Amino acid sequence: MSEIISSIIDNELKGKDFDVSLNELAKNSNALSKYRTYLMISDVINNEYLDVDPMLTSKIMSKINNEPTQFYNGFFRSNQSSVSFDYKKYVFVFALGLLIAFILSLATNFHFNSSSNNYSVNEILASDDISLEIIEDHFSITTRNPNYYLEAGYHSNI
Amino acid sequence: MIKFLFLLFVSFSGMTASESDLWEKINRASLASQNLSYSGILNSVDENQDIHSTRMIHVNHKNEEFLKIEKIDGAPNLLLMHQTDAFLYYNNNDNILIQRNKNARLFPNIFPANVERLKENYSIFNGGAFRVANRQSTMIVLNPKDQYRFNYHLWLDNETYLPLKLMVIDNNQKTIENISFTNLEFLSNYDVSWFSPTVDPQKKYIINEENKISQSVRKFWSVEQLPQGFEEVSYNAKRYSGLNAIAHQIVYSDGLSYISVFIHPVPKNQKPQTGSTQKGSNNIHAKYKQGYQIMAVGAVPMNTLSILIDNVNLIK
Repeated sequence: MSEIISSIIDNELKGKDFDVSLNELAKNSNALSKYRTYLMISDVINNEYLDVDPMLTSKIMSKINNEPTQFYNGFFRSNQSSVSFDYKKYVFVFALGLLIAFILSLATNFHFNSSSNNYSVNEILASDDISLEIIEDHFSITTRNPNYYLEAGYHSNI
Repeated sequence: MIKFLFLLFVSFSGMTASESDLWEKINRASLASQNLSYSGILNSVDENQDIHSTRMIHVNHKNEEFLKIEKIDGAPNLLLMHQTDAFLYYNNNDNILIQRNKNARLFPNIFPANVERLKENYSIFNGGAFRVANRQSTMIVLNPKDQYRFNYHLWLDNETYLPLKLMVIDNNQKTIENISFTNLEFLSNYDVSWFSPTVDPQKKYIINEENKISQSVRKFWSVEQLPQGFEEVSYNAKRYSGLNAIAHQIVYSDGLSYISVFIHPVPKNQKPQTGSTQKGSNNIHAKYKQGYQIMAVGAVPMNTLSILIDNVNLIK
């Protein structure tokens, strides 16, 4: 049977002989299994095996050679002797932080803008956050101090 | 017994007469600030204890008031006011920007049209004799009858009743406003030729039309109960820079104290300002209600602002 398998693989059989040999092979499951193994070996030998890139091994080896040497905590020295930083590790943490902050901000805004209830107040308002325009508008109508009056109340609209 | 009742009656009458005399002085002070012609230098002290000076000329000519006030320190800004029309001239580098305002109540003319209103909310006392701007004066103290306003001290000229000095003192005995004449001259010449700006040909004069909303705005708020003695005296609506919405300013007064309430919608991407703070002589209190920010500003106790805002109801 091994001779038949070898003949088929080596394309030595033609016409009726090839058909007869295949029928014999089909009847014997052990022989069929062997045939597949031989065929695979033949393909690899002939660089015709479709699922395996013949350059794969060399590419893998090339990558391994170029891979920097890690030594601690994400900081490592490359084979090219330049210091670099494993930013990906920290970018992920940073991105996660940003995401959490964004979600919190959305939740806060939703609370402020959608609540129909009065927002309770017992906090200190930042003095610098008060619009100068509001203070000046208040002064321009209510101040009795001529000096303030001459300074407040003007908002350029030009 | 009869003697005791007589003494009680005499002392009571004396006190009442004294109070009414003092109120009469306030009434005369109000008239004097409008009817007399005078000029002088006014100093005001701010919260940092810096002194700012202005030169003032006021003339009542044929029952019409003409007022000119110039800044002596800093930018030489100028105010020309005829009756209730005020024209402000702001020096801005190469330009003079002119802005029109209305109904300013500037020292010494600080009293409400109806002085009687003050009696409801202030007690009056004689604070004694003082010399201010080289003139003899009497200090009149107006103490609030409740906790909604501050103390006013006025120094009235003994001869003319014109207010020479004003101090506003808060409940912690801190002076939050201090304006006084440093010199004063009463004018007998009613010439008003000075009532014009000094034109600088090197500068460009521009009239600033403020972006106030002239059309009527639906009043979508109501105030359930104002603090005792306060009433609405002014209303403005305008579009503020940085706020793509109309902001409403309602001014309330008891005749001496003023509160501005600003109401505007809060854009969805902005956090409303809430809480309390102080800026200069003013307290500020802000709250967020039903999508709107309500901010009260005024030289009154914080509690007054808080009560006022709590009583603002939004009608939707």
